[in-house]
Formats: sequence, C-alpha cells, structure tokens
Amino acid sequence: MPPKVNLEKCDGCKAEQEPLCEQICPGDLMTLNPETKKAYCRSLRDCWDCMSCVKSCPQGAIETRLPYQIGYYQAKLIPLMGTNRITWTCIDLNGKVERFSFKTRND
Amino acid sequence: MPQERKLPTRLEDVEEVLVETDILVIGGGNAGCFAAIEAKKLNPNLCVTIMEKAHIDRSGCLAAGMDAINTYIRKERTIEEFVRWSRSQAGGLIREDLTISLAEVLNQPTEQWEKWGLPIEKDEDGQYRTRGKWDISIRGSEMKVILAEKVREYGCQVLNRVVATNFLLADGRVIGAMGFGVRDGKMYVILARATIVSTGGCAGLYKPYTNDGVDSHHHLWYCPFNTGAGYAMGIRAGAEMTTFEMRWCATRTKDFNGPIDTISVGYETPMINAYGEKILQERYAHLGGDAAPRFIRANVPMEEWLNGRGPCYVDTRGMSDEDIREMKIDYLNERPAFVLFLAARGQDLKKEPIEIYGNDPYIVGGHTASGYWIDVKRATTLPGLFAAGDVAGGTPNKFVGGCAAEGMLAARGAVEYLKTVPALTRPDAEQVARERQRIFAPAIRQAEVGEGIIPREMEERMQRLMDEYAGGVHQFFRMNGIQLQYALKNIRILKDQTKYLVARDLHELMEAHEVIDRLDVAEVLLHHLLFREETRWPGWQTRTDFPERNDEKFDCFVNSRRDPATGEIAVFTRPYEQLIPGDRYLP
Amino acid sequence: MEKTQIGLYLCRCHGEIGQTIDLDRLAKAMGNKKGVSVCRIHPAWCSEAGLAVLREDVEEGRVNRVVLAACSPREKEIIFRQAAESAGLNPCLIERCNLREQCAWPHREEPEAAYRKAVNLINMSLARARQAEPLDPLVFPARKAVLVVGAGIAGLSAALDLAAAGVEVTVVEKEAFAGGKVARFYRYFPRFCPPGCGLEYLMAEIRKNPRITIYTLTEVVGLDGGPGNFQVMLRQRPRFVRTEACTACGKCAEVCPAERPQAGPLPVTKKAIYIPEGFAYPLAYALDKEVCRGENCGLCAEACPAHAIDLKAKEREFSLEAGAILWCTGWQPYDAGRLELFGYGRYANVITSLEFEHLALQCGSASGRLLRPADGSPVRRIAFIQCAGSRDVNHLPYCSQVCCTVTLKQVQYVRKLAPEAESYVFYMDLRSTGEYEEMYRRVQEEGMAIFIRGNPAAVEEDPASGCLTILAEDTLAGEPVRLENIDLVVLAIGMRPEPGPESFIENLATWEFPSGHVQCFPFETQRRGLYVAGCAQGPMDVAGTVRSAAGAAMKAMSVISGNFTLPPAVPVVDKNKCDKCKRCMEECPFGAWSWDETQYPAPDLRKCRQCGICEGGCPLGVISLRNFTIKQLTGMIEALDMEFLGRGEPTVVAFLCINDAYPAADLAGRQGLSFPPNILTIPVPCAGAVNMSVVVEALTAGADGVLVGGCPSDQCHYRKGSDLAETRLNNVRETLERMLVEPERVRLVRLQADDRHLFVMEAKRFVAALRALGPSPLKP
Repeated sequence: MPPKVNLEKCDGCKAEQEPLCEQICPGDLMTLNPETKKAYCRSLRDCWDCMSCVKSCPQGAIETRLPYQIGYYQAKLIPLMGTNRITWTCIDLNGKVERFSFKTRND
Repeated sequence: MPQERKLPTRLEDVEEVLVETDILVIGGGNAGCFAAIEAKKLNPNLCVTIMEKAHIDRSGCLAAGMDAINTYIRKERTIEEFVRWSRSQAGGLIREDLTISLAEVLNQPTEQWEKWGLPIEKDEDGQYRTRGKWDISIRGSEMKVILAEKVREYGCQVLNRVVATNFLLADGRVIGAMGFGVRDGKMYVILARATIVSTGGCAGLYKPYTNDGVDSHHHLWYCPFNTGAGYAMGIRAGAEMTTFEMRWCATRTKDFNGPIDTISVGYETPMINAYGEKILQERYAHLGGDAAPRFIRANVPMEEWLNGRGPCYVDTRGMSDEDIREMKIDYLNERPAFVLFLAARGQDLKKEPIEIYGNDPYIVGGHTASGYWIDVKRATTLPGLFAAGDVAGGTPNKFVGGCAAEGMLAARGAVEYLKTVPALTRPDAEQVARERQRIFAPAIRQAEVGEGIIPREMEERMQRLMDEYAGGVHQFFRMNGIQLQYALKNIRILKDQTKYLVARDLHELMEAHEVIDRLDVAEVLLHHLLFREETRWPGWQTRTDFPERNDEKFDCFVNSRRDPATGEIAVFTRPYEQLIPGDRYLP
Repeated sequence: MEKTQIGLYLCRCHGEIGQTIDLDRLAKAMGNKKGVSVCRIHPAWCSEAGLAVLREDVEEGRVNRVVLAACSPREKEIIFRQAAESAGLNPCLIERCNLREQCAWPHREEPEAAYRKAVNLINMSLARARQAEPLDPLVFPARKAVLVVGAGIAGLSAALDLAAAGVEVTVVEKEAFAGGKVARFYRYFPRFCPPGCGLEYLMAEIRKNPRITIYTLTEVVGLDGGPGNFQVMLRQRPRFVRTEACTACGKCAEVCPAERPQAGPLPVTKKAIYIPEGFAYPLAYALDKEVCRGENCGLCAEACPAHAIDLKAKEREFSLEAGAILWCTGWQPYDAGRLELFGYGRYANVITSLEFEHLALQCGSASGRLLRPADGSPVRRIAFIQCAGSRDVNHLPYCSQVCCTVTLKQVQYVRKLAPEAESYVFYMDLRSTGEYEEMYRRVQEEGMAIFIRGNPAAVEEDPASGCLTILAEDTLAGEPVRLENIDLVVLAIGMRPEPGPESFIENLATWEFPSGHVQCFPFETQRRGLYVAGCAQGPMDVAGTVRSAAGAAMKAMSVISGNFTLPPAVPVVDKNKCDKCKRCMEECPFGAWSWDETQYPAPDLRKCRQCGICEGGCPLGVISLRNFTIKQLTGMIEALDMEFLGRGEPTVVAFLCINDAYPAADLAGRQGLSFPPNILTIPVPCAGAVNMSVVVEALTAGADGVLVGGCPSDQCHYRKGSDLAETRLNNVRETLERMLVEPERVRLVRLQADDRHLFVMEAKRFVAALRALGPSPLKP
C-alpha cells in the first residue's frame, strides 16, 4: 500500500482544483475522495513508490509504505523538505534510525 | 478554475480543443523538456508546446530523481573513446554516426543543469567528480522540478495531463498529433509545423516477477508510466523502427528492482554468487571480467540461478560505513524507496550483501538500440517527425545525459525543418473523426454495453503471454521460434479484442490506451525476435533454437515497418556502417 | 548590477550596547565579511554626528547598503530613513540588527554569550542585506470622492462630515426616503427629543451642501477596483414621481384607488402613491409599483398639477467612481416569528420594540393615548420582555446592547401616553451602561415599571378578549409568576446587520457583523477602502452611531486625501515555479488573490495587507513579500553558526511577529529581564508568514529548536495568521514525531505585546527543554 494518507493532516489542499499530490503523481494515481475531500491512491498496485506525492504534500500528510510482499512492516522513510535541502529519516524494521541531509539545489 | 471531470458517454458530447503550434513535443520528460528549451533558445519567437500525460514537474524517468549522469565525457577523454566504449557495451551494434553526433553535445545538458542549480560534486581541479569511467555523481532528487521550471521560464506552452494517441498525417507527413485530456475528457487536436516525439521507452510488456500480490505490480526498475506510446504511434503511422529485439534486461536489486550501477559502478563492489565466487572475474574473465559488455553483466545473476548457484549479490560487506552512507544518499536521490526497502528488511549491508536478480525486459532506446530509425538530425522516416531519448533508436548507452542531449539535437533538426514548412497543414476531418471514435471507444462501450474487458485484465494477459513465450524473467529470458509464434498468435487475438475494452473513468481510459499501445509494440517486438535467428546478446536476446551468434547473416540492424494500410509488418535489415576503426567488441 | 558594498555600523548606544558587547572585537571579526566595505563604531549613530558619517559614506560611494547594528528596528526608523534618503540611498537598503533590546540588554550578565550572539545576529543581517532590493512605496492616485451606502443617521452624518472636509459625497439609499430606522422612532434617548428634529437638522445642512448627492431607491449591484478608485455599479428603481417637480400637495394620493396592504400588526393605511407622515426626505411622493394599478389607471398623473408623475419611468443602472466607500446599511430586527413561545405573529397584541416605536409615534401624534393594535382599546397593562433573541446561542449569541435602554425609554412613553397603565419588565440582566444608568434610576425611583428577573416561558392569549397571560419564573424570589390581563407585550428585539454587505464584504468577525479587528481596526472590512459605520458595524444606539460615522469618515479620508500610498513589501509570485494550487487564494484573509490574465495567481495590491500569510502557506515556497523573501530567510539561516554557544548549548531560531511577540521581546530587554542568549530572533510580519520550508531549513541546518511567536488566536491583526501557523507547525510536529525527532523542538508561543514576562518564561523553558533533549538529531 504505497502512499498512505494521514486523513487528520490532509486538507485536500483546500482548493477547488486538484490537490498537489494529484497534480504531481506521474501515474495519475492520487485523487480526491469527493465526499471526504481527502486524497487517496486510486490503485495501490500501480504506484512506483517514486515518493513525488510525499515530497509535494504541503501538510506532510503522506507516507510511503512498501507493499508487504516486498518489505516488512513497519519501516519508515520520511523526507522533510527545506527550501534548498532535503532531510530523510529512515527507521528500519528494528527501530534503527538513520538520517541523511543534503542540498537538492543551489541558488 | 474548477475542472469538470467527465468521461464522455456519447461521441458527440466530446469537446474538441484545437491547439496550433510551431513545434510540438510529445512527452515532457528529460529529452522532451530539453528539446523544448533548445527550440526556444534557437528562436524565442517560436511557439513550442509540450504534450504530457502526467505533469512535467515529476513525469517520466526522472520522477523520483537521479543520482548520476552516466555519460559525461571528461576533459581527458575523447569522442572516439566514448563511441568505442558504447559500441563494445552494446555487443558491437550501434549507429556510430548517431553516437558521434550525440557525443559532440553530450556534456552540454549536464553543465546547463548545474547552472540552473543542480548540485554536482567536483574534484580538486574543478572537474565533475566521476564514479567509474563515464559517470558523474549528482544530487538529482529535484532535477526534474528544476528542468520543468526552466521549461516555463523559456516560455514553452505545457499541456499537462494530455495523453497523445496518434499522429496527425497528411500525405505521409506528420502535421501534429491527437490525444485526450485525462482531467478534462476533451479531445485534443494539435497542429504543428514540426513534431518531436520523446515519450520514453516501454515498460509493462512483460510480467514482473514482483507481481505476486495486490500491491506490488509496479515495482519495476523502469518508469512504469512509460508505456510505449511513442513507439506505438510511430508503428501505426508506418515509421521505420529498429532493433526492438535488443531488449533491456538488466541486473537489478532483487525484489525491489532498484538500480545497481549505484552500488557496483559507484562503489566497485563485486558481484558474487551463493558460494561467494566473484562471478565476473572468475567465470567471465574471457569476456572482459568486470568490464564485460553490459548484456553479459546483466545476464550474470540469472545464469548463476539457472545453474544452481543462486542467489547472487553485490557484495557490500567490504564497504566502509562512509561509503554505505554515501550510497544510500545516492539512492535517496534516485529511488528513495530502495532505502526504505533495505530498512524494511532490516538489512545491515556490512553483514548482508544486496541480493540481485534480472528484471522484466523493457524496450528502452536510452539503454539499448531499440526505437525509431533516425538520421543524425534525429529525423524519423516520417517527414516532420523527430525523435529523441528512449524512444529513438540506434544509440544505446545514452542514459540521462545522452537523452537530454538528443532532445537538443532533435530540436535543432526540427527548427531547421521548419524552414521548409511555412504554414500549418489542416488535417482532413475524417482522420480526426476516426481517432475520436478510437480514443473514446472504451468509454462509449461502457456507456452503451456496460461490460467488456477492463484494461487491467488485458494487461495481465499480455504480460503473462510475453513473459512465458517471449523470454520473460520467469523463463530466464530464453525463447524459441515456436514460443514466439504462439505469443504472436495470441497478441493478435488480444489486438482484435481491444474493441471490447471498457473504461469507467478517464484514468481507465488512459489505461486502455496504454494497453493498446503496448500490444502494438509487443507485436513488432515479436517480429524482431523471430527475425533474428541467432543469439547476439545473451540475456537481452537468447534464442535457444539459435544459441550462437551468426555474423554472416545478422551483423546488421533488423528493422521493421508496419504498413498503415494493411497492418502487415515487414521486417528487413540495414547494414552496419563502421566509422570509428577498431574491434567493435572491445572498448 | 552595482557591486554590493555594505556599510556595517556598530552602535555603542552611549554604552548601552558597548558596555556589554565588545564592539572593537566585533568590528574586527565582522569587518571583512563578504560584501562589507566599511565597518564603523560610533557612540550613537542616531546623533547628528553619527548620521553625518553615515550620509557621507553613502554620498562618497563607499556604501550602497547599510547594516545598522544598534537598537530595535522598531525604534528611530524615521531618523535613519530620512538620513538615507537625503544621501540618496533607498531606505529599503537599511537593514536593522537588534543588538540592544535583544542582545546587550537582556544578556548583560553574559558578555561573552552576548558577543557570540551579536556575531550571529549580524551575520543574519548581512545575509539579508546582500539580497535586499531598493523599493519605493506604491502610489495609487485617489479620487477625492466617497460613496456612502445607506441614508440613515450614520450615512447622513458621515456624509456631512466628509463634505465639510471638501469631499464629493454620493449617498445611495435603497428606500424611497432617507432617514432610515430612526425616522420612524417616537423619541431618541437619553434626551427624549424627537428624531425628526435631529434628522431635519442633518437634512437641512445636506440640502444646502452642493458636494452631497443623494440617490434614493438605489442599491449597489457591483463593486470593482480598490482604494483610491472604486468603480461602483448602481441600480436605481423608478420613483415614478419627478422629485424636483413634486410639491407634495397630495392631490395624487387623494385620487389614487389602490391601497397598500397592512404589514405587521399596526394599522397602516396608505395609498399606492405615498409620502411619510411628518418630515420626508426628499419632500416628494413615491409610487409603490407593487400595488399601483399601472398606466391604465393614470388617475394620479392626471391629478398632478405639476405634471410630476411619469408612469413610464424605467429602472436604470449607472456607475460612479469613489475613492472610498462607507457602508452604513444599518440593522434589522431579529425575526420575532422565530421566538415561538412569545406568540409573535399569532397574537396581535405581541409586538416588537421597533413596532412599539411606530405605535407610540402614531398614538402620540394622533390621540395622544396608547391603544392596543388589535382593537384600538386603551392599554392598561403592558409587559416588556428583554433579550428577545439576544444572548441566546440558538438565536443571537451576543447582547444587542441597546434593548435595555430602549425599554427604559419606552416605559417612559407608557407613563406619558397611558399614565395609569402598569408596566412590567422581564429581564435577565439590565444593562444600562454609562450615563443611561440615570434613566434606569429614574424609572425605578418614579415606579414606572415593575422589574421581574426571569425570562418568560410562555405567552398565552385569551382569544375572546385578546388579553395575554405571561408565565415566568421570578429567579430572585424563586417562585413562579403568572401575569394575567396583559394588553400589550413588547419584545425588546435583538439587532442584526441589514443583509447585503456579505456579497461585497466577507464577514471578518465570528458573529454576523462585518467589523474587522474589533479593537484595533473597528471600521475595517476585508476590503481595504471600504469601511463600516453605524449599526452595520455592530449594535449601537444613536449617539454611538454618530460617533461611529465620524470615525469611519476619518478612515475614508486617510485613503482619499492625496495619493493613496502603500509600503512596497508586496507579495511576488515566481510564475515559473507556481503550480496554481490556489492555496494563496484560499488562505488570504483579505481575499486579495485572483487569477491574472495569464491564469496565475496575482494579488490585488490594494487589497493586500502585506501580512505574508500567502508566503507562509505556499507549498512550493514561490510567493515572497519583497525584501522578506524565502531566499533571504534561507540565506539568514545558512549564515548562522548553530553551535555558537558551544557544543551542547541549544540554538533556537525564533520567528517573532512584529505586532506582538517581537515587541514583547524588546520590552523584556528594555526592562532588563534576562532571557537565554540561545534565542536568535527574526522579526516577521505575522506568524502566518513563516513558511514551513524555512522552519525545516532551520532544523536541518542544525537549529535545535524553532520558536514561532504569534498573537493569541483572536488578536491576530491579520485575523487568522497565528492560527494558520499553529496548524502548519502541528503538521511539521507530527512529521517530526514519525521521524523520531522530538516534536517539542518546534513550538508556537502566543504572546501579547506586553507579555515580556511570559516571553522570558517561554524562552527559558524552551531552552531548558532543548538542553534536556540534547542536540537535535537532525543536526548535520
């Protein structure tokens, strides 16, 4: 179940237009539930785990989870986007934490 | 601007959008964006339009980012060296003219990208830091976003979420393209004086071995959203295609299908088998060992498995902590989820090496020579149509830098071509009407009949067929003529059955056309595989009924052309032209 | 572009800074930083001597940007601005570094820490100064004309004030006659003069004033533009009587065969062509098209000796330009029909306090005796029910402020018009504020009414007599009350704003009145240049209305006297990066954003308040206020030494709202309260202006904590900035938590401008907490 949307945090981007995850998803997989106005992935099997939606979500509401068939529960990989920098936190199966921070663009 | 998202239920309800442009770029990935910018640089007054089925900020192969530019010619290296290297990697079969012309501009996109803000590491003398012979390390997590910003800055017009379905033709010339909006459900008719196709390669022809449950269908190495639209449009329009049989089957990380050059090239880790043997050095020394051609390296783990020596690994156990950390940063820049994968396995790379395996085969002209048959100006055999990137054939080992450079070349070719085409050509109404009918047929069927085949079902049938009968990963890439004939027969049945496809929303309509396109590509691929009765690139193309290389008959290009009138596919050869002297099988 | 030459001016401030911070050492350390061309120390740069040096550096071309490390940027701004301007330097190129209030003063006891903090503060200022751009204020030519909507007491008195100041005033009134609600009052309080008197005075002045034009039967149907030049579309319904020709002789009404139906419980008999009794503005008949028999009848036109009647008159639309607009549309009574237990609408003898005014006016001018509306019999027992609709979450959640005093006034009508009658007042609390207490006292002393504390549970009618019975509980006596044989029940009805403004002004307050920040900007609406006055602003009495009108008129003057200028710190969108997600439009509290002709979001600069909430919310960080750009903020963060107090000592980047939190920190410093030097503050226009990517940037650059200082929820000058900041920060905190980073590292504090002790306490607590947590796991 690749992109998992935290429904508490997701605000559907408040817009009449598509939310940012829907706008950005290269596979046209993220979309808005018209009733709840929250985003969801319409076809989990078709996700490439490219994490574009995770990076673009202004609320930090999306987390990529690997399909269980591929990776065990419940490792995490979470990006935090600064203005020119990205910081990743990776927590493995056993709770071991690794962090990576690097510049993604020069200005 | 609220958008209406309505799947048309009647053909006459479909709204038509007419766009007129000087240059149309189909596919706003890496090559397409560079093509568009180059055209604007050459002449800012031109109207340049990108037609993109996703959103150019994160579409195509660079969606997740990239950790390296695998083709950069450092100061001390030459174009000849580059051609020799590329030629040997591809088993001696490349278009040297195309490769030379590409090499001449190869470095420009990389340098341009850096100016635009892409972080690239440098060594002491100010040159880009290389890893391996031709690779440089980048921090490419946001490189597509940067590129897309520049596309807008240069004033290109971008049609996001518009799927291209067919070229518009007039007297054999390409005069634009047609397609539909995935968001607005409208039909798009785009008239252009010149058209550049850069839709990428084709994933999803074969069943991936990770496709074992509900959620991991797209755990592919190649971008699963590149579904061969550009090839299929060319095939349907009668463009000449080359070398489809040179499939891209690579060694990838097992289960995740992540890239391994990052590990093996970037950090010089050896490939080992279950018994700890350094496979390339110990079993393939006669073919160059670690420098063996790419297809050999690609096929190594599968051969080991087949011979009872699997699983295989890239041995990370000798890496320093610092290197492991750097390597993970590389992955975070290209396929971040691989780092998550390692974490989900709780894998300590100092103790457990990374397992490797083959991937499902792709048709991708940035890595092999498959694609449009083009000239040095990147003109296809259809006047008015230029090709760049993974969709263009003849130039393997282009990778990111080469595809971008090829985008520039195609733009130059197209801008030059504009001189001969002073005005737009109006399409005949019948052609547009036919395409409208073809595009929306699955939606209309859903409305009128209410049942049929959903695209996913057909996709899975096609993928299993190709996997089992046309040398998929489950068959260790092996095939024979009888299997291929069986596959061809069934692909033809599937093609006939596309008329029963149904689409329940616009996304599914896009999926329907993705499977239709892939069937066209698969059909041509099967013809190519049948034609080359030899084994030139074991792994990429292994004929168990013709296990040897046959230079007498097949040291040449295998090309094909589908007759648009009859649908017959003619397969024929084109001779090899060597421009750079030397042994073609050695770098 | 010209080479950056920063003049770094360190101020001793007569020892206030110099005694704590070793400025000579600082000058040595900072003087050769990138871009610094001149570094000087002076006892007081604000002195004539200091300013002379500064001016000379600029004039001689040594300096083209200034970093002034001295007192708070909130101090002495004009002095330095004028000095810069006189030397030819754009004042936007002066960057203030707060070494006094937020460094030397609060860290007096720790000179070394103060020094190191000063280095960091100056590094931030230099980073910001390098990217500063010269800007000029935005100037919009303004039309010295005001549109006043509503010709009630508010609109008319504002019109007169504005005209007196030389402004062209247009007043539009949707009714056929000016005067509004008060025109049909019996008496004003507290002086008990007839409204006609006050109105007549206003109208007499207005009639004399050529700068005032009144359009009756006219409504605003469209509004465009902004302060300085609004374009207003108006629609005027026909009067069918030419005002200038009509002599109000009444011959038309005599022959008119059509009668207007009775509206409400009070008997009103009027012809289709009519004029109010008493004073009328304008003094000309109007025709009610709803009941008129039309051109076929035409009797009135034939009867009119002045040929003033035109039955063919048509509705017309026209537009006009105004520099500012005053919204004086008044109020309407709460729908008494919804107060079912009081029987309004079912029983003829239950009326509202507004209707009682009309009843008193009719009776007062006719018989002089108070009569029941149902049958015209004399009123002997009358009950007033207070808070009819008000202070009730199911109806109007607020106190309508005037109803108690109105009842105290109306009780006196009873004494005058029906001296023998008994008055009862049911109330929850009697609120007669200020000098109105005198009315309350008089009513009580003279025994004009019996006050019963309790809200009636029911009003019942005896159908035969039309008499009413009230059931209630006397909460003071603690016993049930049953009051029978009541002739008249008056509901002291609550006030609501007249509907209408919503389409042009979005309500800013949590209640229905369209007032802005109730305390600081009571006249403001979401739309700059459009001000509310009178009961459109909130419930108020006549005296308050006149005061309110004068205030609103002054606000209008501030926009239209001369050119309308705005500071240049407007938001700019990087269109190449914008993906049109529309969040700026959604979150802007002032509705300043819309799509431009290229289909990208663009702010209406005249609506924009430059709060930066768009900058704070933009998911891609592509909106920035000029000279408060995300790039500048990133540069400032990158310039910081995140271990400036040594390993293990936390570094805090604090974004403090310039309206409240930043002054609180200044005040702490001024009063010598010490707070931890670990806190490096960056002033921001609003807590809502802080983009989360900048917060993340600070954390990933090595800050151990990020503090955002905003206002209490209901005090934000930009209405929702600090609440938005809270939501956004909570999102970051949740993400941090998942990343196994302590969410406490990101904190919002809500401070009022004088909360210096709270600021110090929060700062100490935050730094102590961070110290206990240890260095941030995100430190590179």
